[in-house]
Amino acid sequence: MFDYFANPSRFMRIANRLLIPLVILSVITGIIGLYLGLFVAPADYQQGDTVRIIYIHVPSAWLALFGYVGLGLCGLFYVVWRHPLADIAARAIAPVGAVFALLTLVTGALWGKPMWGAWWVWDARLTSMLILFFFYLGFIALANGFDRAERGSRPAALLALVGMINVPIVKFSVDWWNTLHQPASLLRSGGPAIDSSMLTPLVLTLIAAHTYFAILVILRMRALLTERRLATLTLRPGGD
Amino acid sequence: MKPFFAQIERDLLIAWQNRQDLGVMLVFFVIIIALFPLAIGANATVLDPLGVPVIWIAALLAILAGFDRLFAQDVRDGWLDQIALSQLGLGWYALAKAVSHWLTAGLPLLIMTPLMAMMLNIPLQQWPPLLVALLIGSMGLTLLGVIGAALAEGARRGTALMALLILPLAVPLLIFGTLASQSDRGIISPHLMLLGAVFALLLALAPLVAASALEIGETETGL
Repeated sequence: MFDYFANPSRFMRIANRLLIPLVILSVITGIIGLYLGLFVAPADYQQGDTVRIIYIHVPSAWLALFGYVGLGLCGLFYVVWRHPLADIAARAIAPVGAVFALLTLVTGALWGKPMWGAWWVWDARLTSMLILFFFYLGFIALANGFDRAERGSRPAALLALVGMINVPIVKFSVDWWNTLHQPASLLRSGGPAIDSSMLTPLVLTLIAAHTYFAILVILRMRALLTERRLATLTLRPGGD
Repeated sequence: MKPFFAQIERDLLIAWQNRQDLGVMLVFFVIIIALFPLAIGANATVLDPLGVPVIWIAALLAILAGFDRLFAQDVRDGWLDQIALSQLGLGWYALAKAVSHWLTAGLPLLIMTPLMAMMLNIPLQQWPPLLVALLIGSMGLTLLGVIGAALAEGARRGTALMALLILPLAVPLLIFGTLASQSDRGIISPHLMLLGAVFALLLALAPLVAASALEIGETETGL
């Protein structure tokens, strides 16, 4: 299957066909999810209406982690199989993941101010998300840090692999260090700890966010592939 | 093993020829430590609990600052090409670089630490845990630095880029290191063991990653 997708134009044909259904799914789930979340779902008995920020906050946090796993897998595919699309995909994912990490931090700060009384507290989850954001920035800087763009692909892929191993350790060490944030309430043994009136919009916004992520990555991959093709076409023989 | 030690010997010799750099690194370490009281104020009740963290941050910055262009000279004069062809191999070469770098940067820093601990008013019974944790932590930081230097080799703005890559990944070493240094349960604390585990992982990881990154760098310079 890897070989099948190794041809960029074949991959792009399939991706383009997926694009429209993804957009439709994302828009529909996004609108319904946000409507249910912002207007229909009850306010929290302790947190009041501020809890509604969860419908942006949690999907962003998931996508920040999703993108990080994606980067690691792309790194693996690039280093082991030299898959030509893995590099493109990683470069496409990194800025999107970084923005979602930033969005998580910003919405978290907006949520933290009324709830904890501070924009920022040095809590484990906040800190590890901040470090994940820095990790994304490091990846982007390294991938684009060389005079010839392709030269950065391999170091960046290696960095993604190192991050794959090291970031969980960072997470663990920071957890050990300090924890104030509430524990996971969605994916845990014994079922979700959220009432269905809040869970339904959350799941819908999660679907919307993931499809939105996929759309952004496909669009960015398309742009990067075109850019690279253009660079090859305009390359004069003997020049550079 | 003979080429491995020959590589270490060569790097130590070069370091000895440029021994002024060593002094610069140590002064850098001392100045960072001196800056903290200047910024915080001379109030002992505020300053005393900060002694260990200040030493750790200064050590982290001083060690990582020393990685500026660790491989640059070897890439430029063709030494790295010779290594890639030789029986030593790039992985062992990276490990040799780490050893010699630790001997010329980490070890002097460690020797300097008791003096700094005295200046920061750290009680005497805290010195053994601090020194043991710093010993392992400095070795771990050195290995991280080798990874960063290998990845950023040949990049524009290599030094700043390296700091951006490495500092987030240095968080576990910093957390476990400072906790182990402030342990009141003797030298062998759970945090020291975790610090040792991170170090062991980096010891396995660093030569592989550095070798893989330098391989591409080495082929690219020929283009």
